[in-house]
Amino acid sequence: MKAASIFRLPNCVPLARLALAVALSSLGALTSGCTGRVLGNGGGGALTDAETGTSPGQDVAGAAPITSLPPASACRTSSPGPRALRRLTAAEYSATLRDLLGDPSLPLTSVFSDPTVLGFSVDSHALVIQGLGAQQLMDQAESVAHFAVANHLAQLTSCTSTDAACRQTFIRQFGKRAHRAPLSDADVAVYEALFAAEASFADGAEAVIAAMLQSPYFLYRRELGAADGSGYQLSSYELASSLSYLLTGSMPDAELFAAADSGALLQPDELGKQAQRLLQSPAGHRAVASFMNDWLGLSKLQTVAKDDAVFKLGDSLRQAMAEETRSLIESTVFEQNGSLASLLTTRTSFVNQELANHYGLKSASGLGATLTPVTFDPSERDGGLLAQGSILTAFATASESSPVQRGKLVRTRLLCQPLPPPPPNLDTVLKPASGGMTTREHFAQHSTNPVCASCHRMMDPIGFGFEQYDAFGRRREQENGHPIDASGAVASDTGDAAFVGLPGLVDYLTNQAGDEVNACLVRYWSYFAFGSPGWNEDQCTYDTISQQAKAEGFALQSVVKSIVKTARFSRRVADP
Amino acid sequence: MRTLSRRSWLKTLAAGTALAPFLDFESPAHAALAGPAKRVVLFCTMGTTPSIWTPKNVTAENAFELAESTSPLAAIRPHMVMLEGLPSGNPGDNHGSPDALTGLGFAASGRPDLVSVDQFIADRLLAGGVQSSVPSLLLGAEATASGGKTMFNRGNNLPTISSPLSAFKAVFGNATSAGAAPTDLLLKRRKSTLDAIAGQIQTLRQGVGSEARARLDLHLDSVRQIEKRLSGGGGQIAGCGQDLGATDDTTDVLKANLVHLDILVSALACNATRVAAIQFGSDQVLQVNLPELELQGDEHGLMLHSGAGDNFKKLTQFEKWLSQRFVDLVTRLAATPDPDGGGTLLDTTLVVWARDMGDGAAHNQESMRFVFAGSKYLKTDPNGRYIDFAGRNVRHERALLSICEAMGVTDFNGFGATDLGSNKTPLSELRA
Repeated sequence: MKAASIFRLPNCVPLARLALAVALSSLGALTSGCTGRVLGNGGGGALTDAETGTSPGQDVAGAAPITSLPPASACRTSSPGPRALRRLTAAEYSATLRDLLGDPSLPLTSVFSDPTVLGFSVDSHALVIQGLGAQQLMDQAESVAHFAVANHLAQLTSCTSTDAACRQTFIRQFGKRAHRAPLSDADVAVYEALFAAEASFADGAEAVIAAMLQSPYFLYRRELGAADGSGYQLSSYELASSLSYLLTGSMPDAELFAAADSGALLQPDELGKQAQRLLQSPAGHRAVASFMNDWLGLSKLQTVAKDDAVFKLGDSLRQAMAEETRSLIESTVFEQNGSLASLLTTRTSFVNQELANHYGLKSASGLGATLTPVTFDPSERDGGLLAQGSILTAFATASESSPVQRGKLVRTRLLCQPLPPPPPNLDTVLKPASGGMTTREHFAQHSTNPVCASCHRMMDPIGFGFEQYDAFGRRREQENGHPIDASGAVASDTGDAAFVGLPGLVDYLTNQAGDEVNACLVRYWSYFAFGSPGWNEDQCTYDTISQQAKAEGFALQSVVKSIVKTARFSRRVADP
Repeated sequence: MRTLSRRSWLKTLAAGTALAPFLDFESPAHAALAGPAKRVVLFCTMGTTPSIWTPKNVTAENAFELAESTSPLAAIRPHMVMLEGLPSGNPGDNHGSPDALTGLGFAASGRPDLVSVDQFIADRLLAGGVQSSVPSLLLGAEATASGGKTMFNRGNNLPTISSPLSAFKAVFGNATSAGAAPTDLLLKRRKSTLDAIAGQIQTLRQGVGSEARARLDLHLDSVRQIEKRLSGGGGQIAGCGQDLGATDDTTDVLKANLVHLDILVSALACNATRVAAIQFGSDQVLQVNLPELELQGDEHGLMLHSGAGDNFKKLTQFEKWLSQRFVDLVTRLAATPDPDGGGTLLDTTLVVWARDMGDGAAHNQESMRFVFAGSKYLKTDPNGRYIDFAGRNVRHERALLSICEAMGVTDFNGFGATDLGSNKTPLSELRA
């Protein structure tokens, strides 16, 4: 040890946890630590408004970074939360440029490096334009405007004369789509002046398009609304944007603009109809997949390092695993109109021959490279999301299964129970396994050391239930000559729920903890939809979504459709 | 924190004075700055493990043997000083702590006074009348892609520019021999456009809450930085810079970062910036793809955490590669003329290799490790210098204060921790 004056904490010391808890609570992101308390849902973990220390109309997290979803309020009174200004995410920005100019292959440069918060890049607090950002946007706007005028001018305007009438028509028509709302007269005048300084229609259009693509009305989604006595009602255009970005990841299409123009979108029935239409579109399917991807950390499969000495995981197998999960989600959500429970319990999946061989499916033959629906024989492989090769491989170390990562996935993403990051000054590297040890025996270090156990009891015993699958998602009956012990437990303040293997864990998650798991899904999808991890008096909104979805068997589609029906989606209160 | 109205900003701009975003006009640091270093470059990587970094057979400050992982540094011994044994004020803060370049720990995340040394110096330079086309240039291909953080902060964590093409255009787009120099007409168009955009931001700003207003203020400031560049206020040499072949491809983050290093050196050579930084990876992950060295996978997860078994053989190889990149950077600065005249860029540029954690395997900041090189500020030795502060309880923040002092920033008010008391001073050991 070099710095003699520094007190070196041994592994998992509670003092360090205390310091971390203080740090986190001072951020406003109150943590319930390793206690198994559920966030919100009116349960024992719900904090009162006084405890969260927020004022009306304020986001719970404020501007500070968060490491877990903050606890929801108790549901006493409902508030739709504060008004919001949300910069387009990197993906939304690119998709919007391509849709606006009607060119799916529009050449673009990556401008934004979006921070990821809780696995998502939707957090409006974190999406900022600063430093060289405006310069990068200017460069891109000029290139795109130049390209658009050179290649697509005829599609972008109905006239090309330089008279004021044609100029204004172009500015108002293109501007409405760029701003995603009709232009104010003041904005028309601003763009007209830019146009008028140019020598030709093409130059004028290029200057105006470049300016519009740098406009805050293009770069930010507005959820500001107009005061109507009891709060703020979002405009039909703001609603159109919110709906479109949630359900397609891009700007409103012509039909949605028409519904905003007529004001019909302000009617709940029309809003629901449009939601249904967009959800069924190809972009709607991609938007659901995008949520699932971020929620479950599925993209980790693409980057997780693997030890070739244990098994050479080639690209084609990695892609087959990713595709299997995409297909399972697509089929469950859109073909079966299924729920999260059905996603967790289904025995149907999609494999090609390479993946079937990897899984050791004896009856599968001649499948080729294309994924084909199969029904797993439980003696060969468990079904459902948690038994997918993608998740088992992503949530594992390079060579070993990881009960910690797998348990943490269930604890934080399915049960919404926060786990603080490893405490300060902790050497998280386990002592190397001695010869012949099973993974379970190796990770027992976490439970034999009481200071480690305080947090790891929340993760490892859940992860042990996955032990029938190795670091590459292969089923195993033995490890190092010892039979696999896949018995596990979900620890909580009210006692441990014991289970055996993935079927046992899934049974717990879909029955005993079914309401919690569905509430957790609602919480994450709300975060994805609203770009806010929570606000004062938010619990009633989550409860409303849950009640409506429950009436439809908690079908995954019904969750996002219920989000659209909430007051939060169309109304706001004043913000500080 | 204070911002100016657009009118007063333009008025001041017309008077030829550059203004910093959020600068405090009453600050004593407003006085002209005269540091021996005119530029600073931060070379930022993930925490290593002491066993492969610490020099061996140390008999004196200038008599030591470089470890295998740092062996390429032998080429720049006369220019460099290696430091270790400097604990941070929050020595157990783990991944993602802003500590390394701010002197403040996790608890300061999101606090407005959280500022990393690069941003602090950039603000003080502008406040001191040192104009810069790009107040700070933060580059790095991976920092946020995998959900991680950078080492740079201004209240919140600052992203780096990931795309080399976007970075190149942003720095050289306004004046380069590679791209078409802007015509008067284009210049006029850009100025009118930025006026229009700034006006719209102001209008929008009036109708939103305080949190969104703060973000719009940052956006407005970013727009005004362009206006200043267009007015030639930053001192960037017109027509300077060559086509560096930058693309938008960041699939191989190390390759992309090599282009970023080219851009960075070019930006210094063209006097576009005085504060530049490059980050390899994030606080969580650095995806290495170096088939020629048979290195593939995440530096932290694979090479560090799974590396103990073979004495960190892969990590050593990769750190050696990083050391060579640091040496390349220093060597190129030594071969590039100072745009202000006189000697080379290395004479006037302080290059600092900094890490988020001192010991990446143990996840702590107990012994922060730096390599300083270049500028006439630094006390050097023909054999190089290695200073081990272990056991002296010298906080690592003082190395950051040395960077400030080298740049002529000697009023540390507003930077770092408040509990250093009379120890809130640069490390005298570093000063020539």
